[in-house]
Amino acid sequence: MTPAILCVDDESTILDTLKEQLVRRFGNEYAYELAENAEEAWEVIEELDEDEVPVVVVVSDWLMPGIKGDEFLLQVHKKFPKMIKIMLTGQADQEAIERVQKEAVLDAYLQKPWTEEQLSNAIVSALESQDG
Amino acid sequence: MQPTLEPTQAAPTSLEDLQAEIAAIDPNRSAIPSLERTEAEATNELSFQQLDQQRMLTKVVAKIRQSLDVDTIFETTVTEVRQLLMADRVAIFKFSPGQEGGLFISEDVDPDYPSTLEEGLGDRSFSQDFLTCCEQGQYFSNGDIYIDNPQGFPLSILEKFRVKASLVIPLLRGEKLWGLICIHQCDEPREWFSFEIDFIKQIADHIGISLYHGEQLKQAKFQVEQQQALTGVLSRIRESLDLEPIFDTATQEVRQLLKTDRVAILRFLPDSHFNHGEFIAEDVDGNWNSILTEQIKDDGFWEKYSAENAADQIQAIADIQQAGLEDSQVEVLQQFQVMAHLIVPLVKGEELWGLICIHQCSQPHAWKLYEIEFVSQVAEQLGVALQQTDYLQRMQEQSAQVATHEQLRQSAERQRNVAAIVNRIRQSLETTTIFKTSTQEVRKLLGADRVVLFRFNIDWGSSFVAESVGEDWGSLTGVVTTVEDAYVKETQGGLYARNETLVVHDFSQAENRDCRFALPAQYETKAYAVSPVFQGDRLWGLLAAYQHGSPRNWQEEEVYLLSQVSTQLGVALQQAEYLQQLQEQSQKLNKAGERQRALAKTIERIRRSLDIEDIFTTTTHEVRQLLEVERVAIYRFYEDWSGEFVADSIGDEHTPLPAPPSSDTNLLLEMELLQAQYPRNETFVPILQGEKLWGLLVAYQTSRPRYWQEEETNLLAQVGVQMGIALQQAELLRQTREQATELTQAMEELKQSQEQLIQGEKMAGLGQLVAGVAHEINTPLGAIQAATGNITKALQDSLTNLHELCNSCDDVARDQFFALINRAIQSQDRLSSREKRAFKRELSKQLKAHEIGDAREVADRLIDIGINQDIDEFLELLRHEKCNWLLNLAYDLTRLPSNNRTIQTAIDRATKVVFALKSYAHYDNSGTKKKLTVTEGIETALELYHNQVKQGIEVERDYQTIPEIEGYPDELIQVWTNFIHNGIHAMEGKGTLTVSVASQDEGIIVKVSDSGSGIPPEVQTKMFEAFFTTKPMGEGSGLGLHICKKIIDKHNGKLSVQSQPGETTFSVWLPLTLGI
Repeated sequence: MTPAILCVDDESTILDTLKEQLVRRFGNEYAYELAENAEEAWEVIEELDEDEVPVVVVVSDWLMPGIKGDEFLLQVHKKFPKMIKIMLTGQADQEAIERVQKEAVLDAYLQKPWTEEQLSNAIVSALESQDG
Repeated sequence: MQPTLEPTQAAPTSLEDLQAEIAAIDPNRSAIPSLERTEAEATNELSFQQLDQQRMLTKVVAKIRQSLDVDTIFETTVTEVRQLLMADRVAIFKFSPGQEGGLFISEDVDPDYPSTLEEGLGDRSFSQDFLTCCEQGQYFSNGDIYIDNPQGFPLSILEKFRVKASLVIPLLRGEKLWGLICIHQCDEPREWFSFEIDFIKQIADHIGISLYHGEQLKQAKFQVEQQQALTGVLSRIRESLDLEPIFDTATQEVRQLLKTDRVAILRFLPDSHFNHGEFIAEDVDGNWNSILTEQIKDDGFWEKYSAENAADQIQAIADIQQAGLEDSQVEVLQQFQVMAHLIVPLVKGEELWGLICIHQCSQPHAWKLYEIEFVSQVAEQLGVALQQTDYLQRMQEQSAQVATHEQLRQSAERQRNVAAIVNRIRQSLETTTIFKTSTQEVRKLLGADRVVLFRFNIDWGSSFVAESVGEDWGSLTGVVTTVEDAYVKETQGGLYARNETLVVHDFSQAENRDCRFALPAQYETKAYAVSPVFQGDRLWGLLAAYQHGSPRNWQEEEVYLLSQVSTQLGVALQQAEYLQQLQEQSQKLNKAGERQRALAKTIERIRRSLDIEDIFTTTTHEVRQLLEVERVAIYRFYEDWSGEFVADSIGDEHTPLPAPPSSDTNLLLEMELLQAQYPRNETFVPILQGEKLWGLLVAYQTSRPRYWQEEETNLLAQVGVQMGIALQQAELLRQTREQATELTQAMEELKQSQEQLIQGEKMAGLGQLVAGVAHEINTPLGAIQAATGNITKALQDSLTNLHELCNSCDDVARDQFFALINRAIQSQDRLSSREKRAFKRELSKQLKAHEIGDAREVADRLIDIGINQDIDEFLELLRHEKCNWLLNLAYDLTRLPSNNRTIQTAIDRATKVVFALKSYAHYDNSGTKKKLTVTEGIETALELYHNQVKQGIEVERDYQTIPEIEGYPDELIQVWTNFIHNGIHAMEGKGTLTVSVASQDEGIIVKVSDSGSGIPPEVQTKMFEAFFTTKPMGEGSGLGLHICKKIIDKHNGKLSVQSQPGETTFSVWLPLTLGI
């Protein structure tokens, strides 16, 4: 099955533009899944897991209703330590960033506004370093 | 046509009667004559009219009752009744006293018809029958005066006033016929309805009552005036025994009270058997002739007055023409222009003396009982006066007889002499004059050779005080200064002390013991009389009369005279002494008073000033003047009891002196010693400021020592006390001023720090917000950046690929491609990621069913393009070999508008955030109030917390339509921000925030509720205080709600909070305008 990239953000415009960038960059190489908060993200992950679709990358915002990005990514890390975790956010608590970085779970930290290149580079380099 | 007398049946009173009446009414003739109606309608309308008339009746009656003035009542009545009955004229006719004629006195008339006002009807215009019917309260209704004229008014009068139909209702005052209410229709005949008649009758009844009340009131007023007039007459009688002013007063008072034209007093000439009289007093209205001094001869006319019960023979004639008097009498009265008169006899004792005649000349007048009573009372009083005058005359005659008695005349003469002397003595209060006068007068009166006044010394020797001496005899004044008398010395006054007078008729015959106060032998005293002079209880001296030429037989009267003068001398001495005392006292008092006044002035000056230098200068200067001393100074002590002079007032000739006392302890010691009463050069008093010895007030007399009077030291002490008070006040003032300055400064500092705090609080709030705000701005910026990148790439790709579209697929696939694009672009669906997944699953199944490969990817792409369902029309396209390429092209093309939308949304979002932030941070220093819509501010505040709110808080808005209010928009935003912030904080990020806005009490009310844990009562009481916070250190300044309170106060609004677990509501009421 085609591996999937999961994007989590409470703003649908962000999700839509993110996906377009990924589609354009990676085409059918990956399947792309969107979720508006951490809770929904877990649903998607479990759904894909059932369908035996591996989620290889998760791109998450930090400030979201409910569980915040750092917490979510830590949870993901516990369950899927190999999944590439990228934080893409407009503003994050310095404490929160330090926490996720300290626990060495964050593969990349991107700040909004961002470019397609920044995003794809982050994903590609993370994938490469994983392969390597 | 002859008027016939046919009073209509009495008006119906019961409802049945009324209804029967109404049923019988001709519908063409009603209060609104021109309307044509069916009978039923008319009946209905009439019932309404009836109701209306009841209301009108109540209204008119109320108006009648409002006034006690008859003219107002009539005016109201005629106007209201004419309006109500739509008659052409309503008039009030008033009968003349004789009731056989009268006058229209009030009217309301249609301007098209003549006025009856002031139209009079002569006597005998009405028949007795008519008047009798009126008196019984019967009315006269007359539909057409030419068909049936059963009423009293002559046809000629009715014709004159163009009356076609009339209704006449009597006005009774009590039981008596007073007048008529006349309602006239002039345009055409008119049938009068029972209810109309009934209505007028009721009004007539009420007017009757008002007239009766008016009459009662008039009587009551009259009685009061009558009482006053009687009092006037009585007091005049008491004041005078002269008949003329009494009669003048009586006639004036009576005429004024009765408002008649003339009041005269007739006196019967003595022995005329009451046939001949003369008018001796009169008060007459200027329009009528005076009858004073007129004489009347009338045989027999007054005879009846001479009867025994003369006082009861009163004649009251309302109209002399009608009274059946003899022609000769009428002639006499006419001569005096009399039309009505009231005659009351004047009786002196048992005897008829004269008559009081009250004349009405302008018109007949029916004399009221109370008027008659009043005149009778006056007559009675005049009778008493007549008797008194008589008595007085007799008394005067008797006294004249008595006065002629010779003996008494002499006695009286002497009495007069004594009185004259006494009078002269009394004229002076100066003793020298008194002595001189007394001796002179006594000598003159007694014809004595010498009169001497002696005064006793302490040792009962006596000094020669005053003397009057005949020309033949030498004066002893200056020759003899003292007279010694052994007897007087031995007995300490002897017989004189017993207030006895010594009389010696012949000195040569007198025994030795009689030689009291004989003059020295060389003056050859032949006879003398000596009388003691007492001043109070003390024997003061002696008044002695001497005869040198020959012995003299002193008459009793002469001795009496001497002793009387002595007594009066004593009185005069007493008085003189008393006077002297008084003068001395008053001098003392004057001096003291002057000092007191000066002191008061000084004190006032001290008090007036709060400037201590000023007080010093004033005090020293004033005190120096007051005590007439050379120098007054103020010496002030310091803490260590050293000191200095702080003020000095020095007289012109006095050179400023001394250096401060060398030793201060000496000065204090001196103070102790000051008690001694010796002449000193200075005196001083302490000045105490509160309990503390502040200094000394010192008065100097350096030129010579001075006996300081107690009064003077007292005065100085008083000034000292006042100075102390002034010092204390000045000190207090100084302290107060200092405190005030400090307070002002503190206030200023507080104000500044408060302003800083307000701004600080805002910035602290802003700091908390910044994190969220950065996210809020970066998110749309991110979307914009991504979307613009996407657009560029999608455009490049699609432009390249569109070229190939024609070559790579057939017409069917191409048509389907464009149909797909069209549908996608037109699709407005905005789906959540969850919905998209659901559609994707569904679509994926369908694609599989159509045996299309890569179903999952295709479905995903279709959803992204915007196609969620109904894919049957695109099957050719989807089965196309280049399906993926085609879908990617479609995706590129459809993403273009999507990205545009994204950019637009993001820009809107960012703009909102920036605006909210600006609104919050911006402080309008101009402080000007503006018109504002409260909900806009609330929305701005909510915008600021958008990201916090969206993470688990549901915002419910209940916005009623509200008007704009006046206020300070930025400050209000701060309030809403605070409430929302507190709400979010209280709910710990999860719950429902309810914001409601509505109009209330000339203002609007905003409520912000949260579903948090609530605020404990002990916190509620303190939460509006400054620096109160429940948040951990660093999170809140504790100023938020305090500032809110200040802001709401500034808006003249009200801020309250209600809290319980699960619901906390902050309520703010704001007025529509701020006022001043």
